[in-house]
Amino acid sequence: MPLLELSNLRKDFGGLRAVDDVSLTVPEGAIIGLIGPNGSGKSTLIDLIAGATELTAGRVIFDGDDISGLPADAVYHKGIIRGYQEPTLYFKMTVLDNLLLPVKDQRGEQPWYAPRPRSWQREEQTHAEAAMKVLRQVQLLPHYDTLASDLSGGQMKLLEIARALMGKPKLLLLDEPTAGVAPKLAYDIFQQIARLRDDHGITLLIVEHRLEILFDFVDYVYVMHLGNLLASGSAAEISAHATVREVYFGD
Amino acid sequence: MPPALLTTSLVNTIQIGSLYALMALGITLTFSVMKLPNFAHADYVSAGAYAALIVSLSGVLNPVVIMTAAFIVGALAALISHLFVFKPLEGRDVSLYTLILSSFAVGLIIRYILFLMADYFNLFDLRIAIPLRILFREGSLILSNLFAWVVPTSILLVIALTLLLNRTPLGREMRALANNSTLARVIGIPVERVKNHAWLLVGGLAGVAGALWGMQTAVNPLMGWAAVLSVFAAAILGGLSSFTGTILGAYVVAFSEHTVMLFLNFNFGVDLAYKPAIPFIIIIAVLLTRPQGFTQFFQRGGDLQR
Repeated sequence: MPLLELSNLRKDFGGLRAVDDVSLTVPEGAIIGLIGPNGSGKSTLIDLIAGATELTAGRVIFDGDDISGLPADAVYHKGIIRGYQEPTLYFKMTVLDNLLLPVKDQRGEQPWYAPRPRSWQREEQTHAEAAMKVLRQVQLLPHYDTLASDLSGGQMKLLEIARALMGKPKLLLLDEPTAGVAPKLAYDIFQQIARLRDDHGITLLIVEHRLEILFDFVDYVYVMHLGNLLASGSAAEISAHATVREVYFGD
Repeated sequence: MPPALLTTSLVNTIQIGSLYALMALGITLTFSVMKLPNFAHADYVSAGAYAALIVSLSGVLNPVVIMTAAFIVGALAALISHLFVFKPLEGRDVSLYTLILSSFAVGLIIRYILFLMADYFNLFDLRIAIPLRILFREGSLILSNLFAWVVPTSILLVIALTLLLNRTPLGREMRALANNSTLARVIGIPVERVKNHAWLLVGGLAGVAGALWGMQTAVNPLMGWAAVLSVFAAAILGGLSSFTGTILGAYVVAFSEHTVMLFLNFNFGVDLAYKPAIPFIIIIAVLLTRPQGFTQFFQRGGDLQR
């Protein structure tokens, strides 16, 4: 059974059909690439899976459950976590606070416990230690008390990945994880991403324009064009695919 | 201006300013976290004052019990208006103007429920009958036990709210919502629950402000509404986003309404009837010249900034 299964997903924005009848599967433990020209509907598809945008039609099955139409926070707690093209962080908060925010069921978030720090401080300490561990993995440990706005672009991307790890995801949706990052660092980021699968067993669905890097890491690639699924196959198959080359590279 | 008058007006400034701060913080919090300039806030104050009055009339004169009752009623009024009006409207993606108008409507409904009740039980213009005692008298400086209740309670609550917001997981989530509520949802913060809690807090503090207000003046269904402009002026001075700025704003408004007004009256013959114009003048002047209010001075202090 695949971890994620999309059947006949459709999304209309007014008269515009951004995603048209897309069906695809993501097997557990795989790194799947999602590529296509700008405006082909990739980001919308990610939004639909994450529950950030409402479906017009179709079904999303995750881990055996129908999660179509669930709000974004419920999808998050099912284990689907997304990253963004633009770093989306709480810039006025510290790196550590950014990691503590997504922790589920904190005692100190209840109004009757919150005013009594003693009732939640130990729990907070445990969460903070977990956060520090994740920060060490992505090499951000020295910056734990820095405001997120003071990080470099690449560090912001790493913090996003760290935040995703805090949520113990089963499936990570990444929207152009290397956008706006220097080529050398882009490769580093992908190595970190590959380790998420290798060390943590996290399944990944990645939208990416830097095909030369992406194709080194993916198991399978889906190609979107004008809201439709145009092709799918291994990196080698897609590189050689005539229609894809025409649409994508203008060959 | 004679010194005796100055002293009295300064005592008033501190007393009223503390109450304004307590009410204005609620408005700032609602605006930041819930994205709503809530004019019904005034009527949570009145509802709390009536709860306090009724408890005091039943013979309980312990200020802590009175304020607890006011907190509960204010909190419930706020939560109910959220669940039955603001939340359904937000779900329909209505504009900010619709929300503002609906907050006026909610305020009117609460106000006239209070009118009906006050009319039926004859509860107009009664003071919450905490016995008055003079604690301190030195020349023209007179401090009553009322001052000793109102000022420290307001200040303590303001400090408690600031600590709650900046030092606890609940406050962290509220700040996150204030900053970017879409992201809050996406990273799994239980947005609806946090909002409910914020509403309870905001309404409860408004209720307590009402109880304290009713101890020093008289309780009537219009009391909150009468103060709403001054309180909004204070919140606007705080840029509707900074706690420190809002607190400072509250004292600035109270100072203008009491000390400055008396000064103008005494030295330039300005009629005291112009007092209600002061918050208007402050609001217009601030919005024209510094729409961000005091926020610029508190870069790391006002964490509710977007």
